[in-house]
Amino acid sequence: MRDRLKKNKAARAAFWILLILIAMAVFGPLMTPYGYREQLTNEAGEYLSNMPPRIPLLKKLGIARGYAVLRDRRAEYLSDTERYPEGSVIRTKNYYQSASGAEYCDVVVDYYVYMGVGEDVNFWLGTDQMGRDLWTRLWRGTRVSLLIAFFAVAADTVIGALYGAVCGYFGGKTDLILMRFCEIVRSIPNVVICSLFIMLLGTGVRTMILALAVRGWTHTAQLVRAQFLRNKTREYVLASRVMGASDARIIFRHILPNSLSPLISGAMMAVPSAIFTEAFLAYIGLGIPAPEPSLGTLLSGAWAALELYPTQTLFPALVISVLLIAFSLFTGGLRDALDPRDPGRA
Amino acid sequence: MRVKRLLVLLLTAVLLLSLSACGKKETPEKVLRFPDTKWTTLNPYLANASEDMLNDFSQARLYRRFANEDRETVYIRPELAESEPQQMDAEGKVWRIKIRPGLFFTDSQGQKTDRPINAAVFEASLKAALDPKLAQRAGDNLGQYITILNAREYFRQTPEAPVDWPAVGIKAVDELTLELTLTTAATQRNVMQQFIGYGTVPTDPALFDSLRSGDGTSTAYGTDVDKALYCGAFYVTKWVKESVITLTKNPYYVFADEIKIDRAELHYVESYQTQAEMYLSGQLDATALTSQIAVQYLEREDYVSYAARYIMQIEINRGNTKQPILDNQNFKDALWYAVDRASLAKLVAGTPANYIIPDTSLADPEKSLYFKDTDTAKSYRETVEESYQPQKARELFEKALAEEGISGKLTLHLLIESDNPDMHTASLFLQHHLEEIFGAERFSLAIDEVPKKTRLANMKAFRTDPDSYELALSNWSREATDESPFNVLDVYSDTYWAQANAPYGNAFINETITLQDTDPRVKNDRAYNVQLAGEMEKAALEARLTIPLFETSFQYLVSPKLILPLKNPSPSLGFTFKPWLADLKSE
Repeated sequence: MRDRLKKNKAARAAFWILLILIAMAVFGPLMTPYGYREQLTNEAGEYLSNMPPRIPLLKKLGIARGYAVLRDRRAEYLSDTERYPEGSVIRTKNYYQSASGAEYCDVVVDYYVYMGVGEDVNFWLGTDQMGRDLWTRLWRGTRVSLLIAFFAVAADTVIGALYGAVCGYFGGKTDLILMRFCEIVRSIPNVVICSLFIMLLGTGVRTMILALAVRGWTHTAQLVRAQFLRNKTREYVLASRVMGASDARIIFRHILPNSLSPLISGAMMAVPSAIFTEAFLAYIGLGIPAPEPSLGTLLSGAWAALELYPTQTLFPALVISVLLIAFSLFTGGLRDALDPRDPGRA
Repeated sequence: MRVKRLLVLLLTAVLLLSLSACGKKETPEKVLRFPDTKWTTLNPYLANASEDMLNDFSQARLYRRFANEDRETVYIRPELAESEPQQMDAEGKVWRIKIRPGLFFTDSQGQKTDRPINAAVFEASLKAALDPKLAQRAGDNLGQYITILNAREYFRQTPEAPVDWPAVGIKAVDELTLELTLTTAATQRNVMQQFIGYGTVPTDPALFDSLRSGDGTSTAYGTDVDKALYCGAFYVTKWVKESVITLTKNPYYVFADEIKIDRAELHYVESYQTQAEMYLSGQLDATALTSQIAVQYLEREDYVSYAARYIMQIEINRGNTKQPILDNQNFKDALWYAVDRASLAKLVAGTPANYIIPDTSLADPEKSLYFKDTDTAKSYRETVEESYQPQKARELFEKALAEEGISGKLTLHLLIESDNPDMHTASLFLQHHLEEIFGAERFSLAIDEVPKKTRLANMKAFRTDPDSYELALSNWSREATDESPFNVLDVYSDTYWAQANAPYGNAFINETITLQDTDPRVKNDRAYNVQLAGEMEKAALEARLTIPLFETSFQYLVSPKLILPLKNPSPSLGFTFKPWLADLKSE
């Protein structure tokens, strides 16, 4: 299986990307001196709100220099060092005269000088409205989103596998009743279930995991049930039963291990779906409570000023997109590698 | 040949007709496109602050403020009334208001209906506004400036003390005369001020009653454009829910010839950024800005900012049984001294507030004297610097914890509303700073973001469920027309009609607030009004009934082509003063 996975270039690339993202989620917040909830101010006590990104290494290439465009500024104030500290104005553009004759222009400023921040202070992805470092918050948020997704999927898998195994193995009325219940749960829209759960228990990482798991297991249950229905009449199961093996032994030692391939690929496919659902819930205001960030809360927070500070939306959106694509590609590769019907399989 | 000639004639006629059409100069329609908040009803008695502007456009009252010619000051003018109220007794307890003859409602098609506006209609309208079963917002506002005999009792009546309508001091004495009997003497200005409010708008009794529910506890009046009639400068022609309301100039309005715009569109745009983009691309004549967005436009000539008439504050549910520390005076003092109001105000482009009567509250409108500038206010109000003492706050907090026997960490929940950028910013600020001052190992603040309705419902629920909330952010919006600092304090009394936000339980305020119904000097003597307002505010601040944070400012971009009735935004009347009286310069 590993060889087949290795041969799939897209899956291999996705695997490495995922590893890098997971590593960043673990170590990223430690790479800056700022805490994820720390609200930063300058020496005058002014909040360092919406600072643009500044990365010393890229500065020379003209990228992430910490510049910002201040629109519609009165040209007559440009020489006022109270408003524009020395060295803060980089250039001016788009001059125009207003109806009253006053001259206006857009001013490109070094926002770090403008806000009185030293050369040694760099916010690699900028800051948000509350002056919190976005690099730290982005990776902390990625960590939280991944944790929610992994735990939710783990819960899905365990509950779904047990439920599906019981249904598929025992069949008959047990299967009929349990599967109808499963279908009822499955027919309720995900957002409704999550919203009700959040209303009942309040927001939080634990609630989010539970809310995602409460419906997610149904898919796994159906998947495992199908595997059990197919495998329970196989010779090795009959042989085991003839030898006096208990139901539990047959389920957990014989059939379940033979159903692992679809279970693993199903679980992997559920991870991006859980990340996306968490982001969606956060976006509609049902995310985890402040100050803890997640990819969804970062996106929803940045949305209010998307046009003015696009980088605040760009980076979380990029991470979420890359995560979803990487998971999809990797899962696709994994599914192909685990598929016994694949002609390339040894 | 004949056909050819006919064709030539026809062609010539068409050419001449088209040329004559080109020569005609059509005056372009003047359309005002204004941003507004979300509307829920056209019923003037149910309307809340969100519907103020809509009501102002579409409904007239007996009296209303208009701008003077200098465009700097305003005066009260009889609108549906023919003249000022006439005093009928020596004391000033009986007043008569003459209504203009020949007034009729206009429908949503712009047609003059056969429904008249006369004294009987006003009596029926005031009865509907005070209806105890409907319990509408307008009911209590009827007692703001004058105390109408038995009006409050009729509105709040109980089975133990029922009050019938004939006992209420509102009577139509003839077709065009409305008589008011008051329990305390009032001035002519007081009477006019009372009838400026939207709660006194006339509604057609037949239509209003036909739309009532069977049990009379609700009404469908104003739920759609054709479920209301209009008497204001505009009538509502179209209402696309949560999007746009279109209004057309009402030719039957009493001052129709003074209305310069032909049509108005009130746009509800949820996202302030989208609103700003619509303004910049010419789709709106003005846009409201949040402090985060406003940063980009501060130097523009079309940028306007003024105080918003409300104070953001932390409400403390001192009756919470699970968190008895909320009733601990040292804890409340700690909270008071822990907030760096100056820094918070900078973040939200507001004014730091350690008081509860807003800066815009006028002590004397004639002298343009604001309450904050009176000697009374200055005598007890602290400076903002004095109200921020982190060390003292920490000590008081530790003392409170010790008194309550809390040795570990105290976690409190702060209830705020989603979609309110100022509340969101303030809550994050408080979370960070309170934890920093009190110590993260000793205190944490969890933020519960809920929709506005849920926040209000939770806050009002403390009566039946004492644990309905712990701390909450709230703001009371004062009406632009409110000229009484005394009135600001009514929301901190336990008898406030719309129910207090917290169990204030302040005996002094509860007792003093009743003077508005029993002591005529509250309404007639400005100095007395200010003195009592000061005493109540002092009591509220000392008891830390609430922790004021900052006074919000409204920020707008306003198109230079829009000529508003007032040259500059007035702190007490606001930028949105009568946009329906505005004019639009041609492009």
